[in-house]
Amino acid sequence: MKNSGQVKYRRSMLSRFGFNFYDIFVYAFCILFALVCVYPMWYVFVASITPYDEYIKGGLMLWPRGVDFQYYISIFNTRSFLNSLWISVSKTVLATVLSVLVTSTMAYAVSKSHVRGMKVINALVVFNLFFTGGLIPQYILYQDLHLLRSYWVMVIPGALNITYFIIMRNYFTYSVPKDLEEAARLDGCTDVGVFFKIVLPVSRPMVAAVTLFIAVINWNDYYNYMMFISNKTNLQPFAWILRRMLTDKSLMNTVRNGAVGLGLELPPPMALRMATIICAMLPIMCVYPFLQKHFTSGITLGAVKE
Amino acid sequence: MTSKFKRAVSAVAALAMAAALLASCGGSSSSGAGSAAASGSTAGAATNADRETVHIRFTQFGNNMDDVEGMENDPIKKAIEDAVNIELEYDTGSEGFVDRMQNELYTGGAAELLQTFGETDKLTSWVEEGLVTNLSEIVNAEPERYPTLYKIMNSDEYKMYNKLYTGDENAAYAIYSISAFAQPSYAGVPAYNTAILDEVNGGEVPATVEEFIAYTEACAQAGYVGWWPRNDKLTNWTEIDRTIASPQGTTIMPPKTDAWDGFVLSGELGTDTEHWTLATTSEESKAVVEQLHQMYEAGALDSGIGVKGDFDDAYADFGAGRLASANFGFGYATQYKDFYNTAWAATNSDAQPDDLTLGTAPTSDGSYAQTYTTGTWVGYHYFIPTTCEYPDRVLDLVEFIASQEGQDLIFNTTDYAFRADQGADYWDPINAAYGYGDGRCKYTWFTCMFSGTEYQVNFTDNDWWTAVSNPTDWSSEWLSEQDKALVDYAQGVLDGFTDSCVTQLPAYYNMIALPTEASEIRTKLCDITNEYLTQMIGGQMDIETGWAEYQAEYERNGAAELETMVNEAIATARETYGS
Repeated sequence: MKNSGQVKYRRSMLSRFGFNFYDIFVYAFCILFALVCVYPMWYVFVASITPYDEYIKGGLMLWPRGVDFQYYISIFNTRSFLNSLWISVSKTVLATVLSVLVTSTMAYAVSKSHVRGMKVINALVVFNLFFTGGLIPQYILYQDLHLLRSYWVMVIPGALNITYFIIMRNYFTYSVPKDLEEAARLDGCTDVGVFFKIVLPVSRPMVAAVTLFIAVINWNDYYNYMMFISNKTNLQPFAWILRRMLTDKSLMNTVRNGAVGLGLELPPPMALRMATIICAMLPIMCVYPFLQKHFTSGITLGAVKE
Repeated sequence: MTSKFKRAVSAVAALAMAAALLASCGGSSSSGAGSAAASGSTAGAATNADRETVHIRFTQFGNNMDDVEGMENDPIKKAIEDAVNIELEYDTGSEGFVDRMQNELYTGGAAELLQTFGETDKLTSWVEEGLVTNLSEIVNAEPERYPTLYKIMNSDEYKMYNKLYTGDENAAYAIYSISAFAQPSYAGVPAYNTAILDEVNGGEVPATVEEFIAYTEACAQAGYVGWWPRNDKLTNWTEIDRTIASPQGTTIMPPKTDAWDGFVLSGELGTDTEHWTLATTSEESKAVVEQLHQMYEAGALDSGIGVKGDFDDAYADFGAGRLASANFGFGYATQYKDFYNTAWAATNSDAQPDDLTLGTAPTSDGSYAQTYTTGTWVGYHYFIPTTCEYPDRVLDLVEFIASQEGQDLIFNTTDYAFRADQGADYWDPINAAYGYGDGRCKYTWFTCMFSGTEYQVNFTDNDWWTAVSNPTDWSSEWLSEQDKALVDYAQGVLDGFTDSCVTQLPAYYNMIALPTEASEIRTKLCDITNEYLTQMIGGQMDIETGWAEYQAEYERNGAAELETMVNEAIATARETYGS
């Protein structure tokens, strides 16, 4: 009796308001979680445009207490920043395109395990996921390839991403209907044609997701610059500039002195850091909306009649 | 017919390949021999202008290369290149720099002239592995080509360092850069915001540790933050130690830089009775940590300590008038001047020198904090890797930098340094050689090659040790009237107690060589201190229960062994070099 009463109550709440307590909990949890994720970013943004006199008053900052873009002006008048933005954008685009192309084509080829030698290639690639040569062999290899202290050391070495290679290989093996490929071949399509005209289009959600992840990796990468380039100031990626703004007072001094040279007040380091963080986040955040439309499911639903 | 033709073509091709191979081998060997012969045969009579132009990459930690235009138009670099007939490439970095240098060295891609932090174990292992060039061998073969280096490397003191590092006093594998200040430098002297000092304490400077703590707590109650000691995000304990712990006869320092860091001296210095006891985890240190925790809780010690940066965030807070006192190495007058300009005057357009007050080193029961120093210490080592094809030419560069002409060029750059519209204390990074932008009037490369403190050395009139231990600090020459007044004021205050704060160690303390295992133990103990003290001061760990764990961690990781090693190493140095 008690159980049926509860069921009756739930039904009536759902039927009367269109939601029940479970829905409220889920929504509340999601909103809270979203706030926990979003607020730090929002705080950084607010701090980056709030005049410092207001900022140091402290307290919870939900809205900017005044708007002042002087920190952004200081940053964009520093040559290293603009140059590093260009380096980051170009290397992210190039490295991502190259990486998606190399990784997907190789993953597709290796997914054809009936082809002789593919299992060996697969094993060799996966082996590298667990065991690497280490930094010094890597350094020697780059040296022999004349990649050291060159722009291309930030682009070429990441061309094959093993983690996404495995994901792509499995997707091509298990999620792309073989009948689609066979149908294309019957219509006279070559292997290359099948991959680019049939397999890639039907794998669009997966490729879009992988592209996004690889782009983020490349955007955030400063390790290759730090270890293999380092003294070419004109090749600094933005992630490295951000890192330096957080840890290296020499760059901070350059920006602050530059601001004074522009006739601005000497900007406080904390505010400059906040503005730099926003500058580092915005370009890569712009990529998300362009890829959003590809995150659709069921592309292959109904493609093959069983 | 066809087969004969094929054989003939094959034979011709094989002969051509063999000839090409021989030619290429001969070519490379002859060029190598040629350069060697050139360096040998032209010795003495030849000048740098007659020698081949080579590319030299020079690495130096922590420089700034962001001013691309300034670097491209650097007149001093050009002057060096012209004088030595070389192409110079500068290389720097901070994060990852040391690893990169090591990788490059091990993979054969090292810079022609590279810098390290003067670590004994690194020098020794690199020599053993044949990675670095024996410099004295080249220098001694051509004394007339390297007169300054010859003089340096054949001095008794230089040979003593050779012996210390490799056991062979005649083999110098590095240029040893020795650090020395013009005046004693020590920590533990706070500077005060005068307005807050007046408001909270009637303008009276705290004289004792107890007064200082009470003052910072009173500031917190008045709505200010009491104190910011430079701390490098709670990994550098020197200022806290010298201000609070050391006057009370103990230390919270972990064994870190100097062999005696973290130790307290008993017995008489320079005799068999001298003994150093590791005091970081002593009961006296526990009492100090409790004091620090209470200060933290009360807002007397900035709550952002460990999170905020020293030279930017803390400076900004001080400039904004939120901090009542700060420590940033004011046991050296020039640093007080720099602090006034950077932390205060930069953000307060109507700043006046008396806005700040330099305090005194706090005492406890009449005792001052003790800074033990030899007055000199090894700053850096400079190496030429064995993969370098022209070490003789790199030594030409080093010889030039060591010469009077080279030293004048680097340190005496008045014509390049000033911008009239900014005043004499402003280093212009565009029209002049690029620099730190912090008012230092000198070049930023090669400056610590002989003097680790970046002062000019005079090898013309002095032997190596006299020159490097008595460098010339030109910085006061470039100062404005106000800056001079600030330095004089600070020096006047410091002179009142410097002698009580600094204890000169016998020279043999420079020759202390700890075993390799000591380095590992020190690193571990340092990490333990950073972990435990940070938590105990910040209140994340209960001091009563945590201290026993802290002591146990120290013992588990070799504290007792380290104490023995330090005392044995000091005894050995005393017996070997004490006379």
